[in-house]
Amino acid sequence: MNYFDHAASSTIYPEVLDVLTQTMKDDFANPSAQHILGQNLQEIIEIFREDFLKAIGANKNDSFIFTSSATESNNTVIRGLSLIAGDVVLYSKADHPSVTVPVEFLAEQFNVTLKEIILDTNATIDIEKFSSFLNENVKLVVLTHVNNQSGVVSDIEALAKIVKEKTKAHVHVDAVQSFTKINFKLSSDIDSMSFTSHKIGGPKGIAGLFLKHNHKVQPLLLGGSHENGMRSSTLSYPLIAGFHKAMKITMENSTQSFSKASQLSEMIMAKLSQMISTIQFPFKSTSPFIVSFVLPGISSDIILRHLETKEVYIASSSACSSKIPGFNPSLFAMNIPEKFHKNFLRISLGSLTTEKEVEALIREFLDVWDNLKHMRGR
Amino acid sequence: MFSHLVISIDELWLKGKNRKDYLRSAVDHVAAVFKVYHPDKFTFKIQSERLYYSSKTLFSEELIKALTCVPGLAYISPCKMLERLPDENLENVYEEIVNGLSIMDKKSIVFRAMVKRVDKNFSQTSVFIGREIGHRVITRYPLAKVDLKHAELVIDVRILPKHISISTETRKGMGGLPWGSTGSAVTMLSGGFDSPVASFLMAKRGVKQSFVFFHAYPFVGREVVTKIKNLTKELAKFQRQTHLYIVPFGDIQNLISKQCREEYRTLVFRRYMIEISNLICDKVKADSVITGDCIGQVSSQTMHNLHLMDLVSKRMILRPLVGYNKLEILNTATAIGTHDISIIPHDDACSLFASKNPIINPNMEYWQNWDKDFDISAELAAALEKTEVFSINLQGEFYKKEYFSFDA
Repeated sequence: MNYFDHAASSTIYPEVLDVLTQTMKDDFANPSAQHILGQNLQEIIEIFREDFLKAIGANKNDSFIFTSSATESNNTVIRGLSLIAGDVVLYSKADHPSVTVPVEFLAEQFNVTLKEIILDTNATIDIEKFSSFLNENVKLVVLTHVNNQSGVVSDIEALAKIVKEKTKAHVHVDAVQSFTKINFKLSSDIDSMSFTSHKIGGPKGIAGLFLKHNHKVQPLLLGGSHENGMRSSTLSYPLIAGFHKAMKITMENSTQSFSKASQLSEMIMAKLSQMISTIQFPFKSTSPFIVSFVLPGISSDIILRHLETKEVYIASSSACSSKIPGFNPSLFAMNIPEKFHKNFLRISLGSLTTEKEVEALIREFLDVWDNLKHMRGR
Repeated sequence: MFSHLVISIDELWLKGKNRKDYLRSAVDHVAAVFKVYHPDKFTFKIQSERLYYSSKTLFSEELIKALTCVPGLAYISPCKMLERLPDENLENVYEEIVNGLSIMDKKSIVFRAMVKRVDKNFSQTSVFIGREIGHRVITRYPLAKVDLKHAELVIDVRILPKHISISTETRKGMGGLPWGSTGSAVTMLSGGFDSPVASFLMAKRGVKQSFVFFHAYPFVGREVVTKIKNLTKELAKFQRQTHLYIVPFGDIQNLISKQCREEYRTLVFRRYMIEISNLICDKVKADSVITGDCIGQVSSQTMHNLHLMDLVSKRMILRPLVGYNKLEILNTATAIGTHDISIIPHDDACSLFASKNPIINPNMEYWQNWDKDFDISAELAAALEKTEVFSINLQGEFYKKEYFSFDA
């Protein structure tokens, strides 16, 4: 099997699996329990929490909340700021639906005003236009560090700085695709950040939310006051331990994985451009873990399914929106003409992806492309 | 809820010596429905070619609904069965009827009485009894009106040797001929509106069916298979049991597309679909192939093009929709419950490959040469080998999956 859909969900590290197996079996107690079994687990969770804060460069008095998914983390911030009519939210339609849908919900339910961050032809944020939207009514700015479809990396430090110079808005960053993969410095201008475990070789069902110490976010879930009241739910010690292990492994190998991914992604782009004259790579300054392109001529779903028959797995768009036929608002926001929305493909690498796998991918891809030449233009 | 059911069989009067066989087919199918929907004990008898069922427990609405999907049944009457009083006294009957119609208290309902003396020794005439019923109903419910032609409610009374049956909720059955009594077929489903309606119409005429779908994966996704399964689920209600064959067809279509003139592609695809359907007929010993073809609807349905399919098929191709208008098809689809499934969009491989200018009047020489030069019997056999076969019961439940084999 040659798996190239790590941006949707990555393969689990064997070491993480060991942690999960062992903790699922042994560490069944409720970390909130008063007895020693629970208290021991809670103590370790606090150590893990500090490790996460350290990994992102946050202070000890900031919070790192464990949630069930990045969708929950994004929703917690977007809905938890209690925005009211007249407040302005800045976001991009190229963001993941776990950002765009709750933001649009605020507009519908509470008459919050939405302003769309305009992207230039390379799908990067147009700083001039971005600055022009900033005024005292802006209460929330949502930024995506690495876009899940284009792979474009945004300069979140610079953008957050501009926001804070002009406004008192809350700056939230969706860092799901960059966490432990793309180096960045957490500046004091960033108020919250979302992360998830299953994109970095950890289990599904566990994710994180960084909140700066002076945040004004209200919790989504009420109940047992877990996580300092920010997220009531029994903590899943095994999932947290698995997430922590995956974070540790990816952090340790971060530099090495980055350069390996850079080499492999360049190889993919070079080989495909060489063999397919019509292929377009529309994005610049992208994460080396994501290679997105437009391949006019054949519907991307058809290529995807032909590859899957050869046990090669890629994506035709974000897994969350691939059921939507035709027009894709996210691609549209990235200035991809509508006629190419059905021709969009994404290859995403994991930290363990090998050159041999990439060679197999290129070989099979070109084989499929050749096998379907009579279909082109359909 | 009633504890008696009377079922009459459609078109039995048209039959001669084979009458018994038709009746037997209907009885067997009804028995299968009872087995599923009425697991409690019941008694059953045939009298004057009508089927009488009685049970101490109530017959459910689900049972009655399932019976309306059994081909060959004219009417299904849940009824009350009264003991006959001595001296042809019908007071208990009149009382029962009048008391049972309390709905008429507040509503103006047009009704009629339909009386039949199965026991011809009964001396009061049907007309006399009918009039008496009408009189009593109107006296009690002044809003009620009698109309023999436009009655909303029919009070069906039958004088039997020992009992009298009363039914006011007679349901129209599916009609036609009993399941399997006219032969069997393999029905080609496409996911559109037409083929399920074609299947229904032939089910009504007693044709026992298996279904086949040609899945153009990897050119189309798997969603369409779910759609086909949902359609089959609806169509299975008109069968005692059935099978669905999902034939992988993408590679064959791709192979054909590479070698065949573009304007002939759709025709050639269909040619092999017909051939595979015939191979499945061999396996299930079916007598014909059913398609949803409708004359002139799309380019592959010109007379010339349909004729080519007849030349390929070893068996008769039944095309019950040949003379239907699209609106008539859609209306029937709505009535049988397939419309809302068919309307769900799906990738269609034929349109994916289709030429902008498909052939309408094919060149026979090209067609015959194609057949002579292009041999894909190995590919067809390989596709059949990978064909998934699902078994579906009369409730529409998929209960078994296996792979196609000529031996099993």
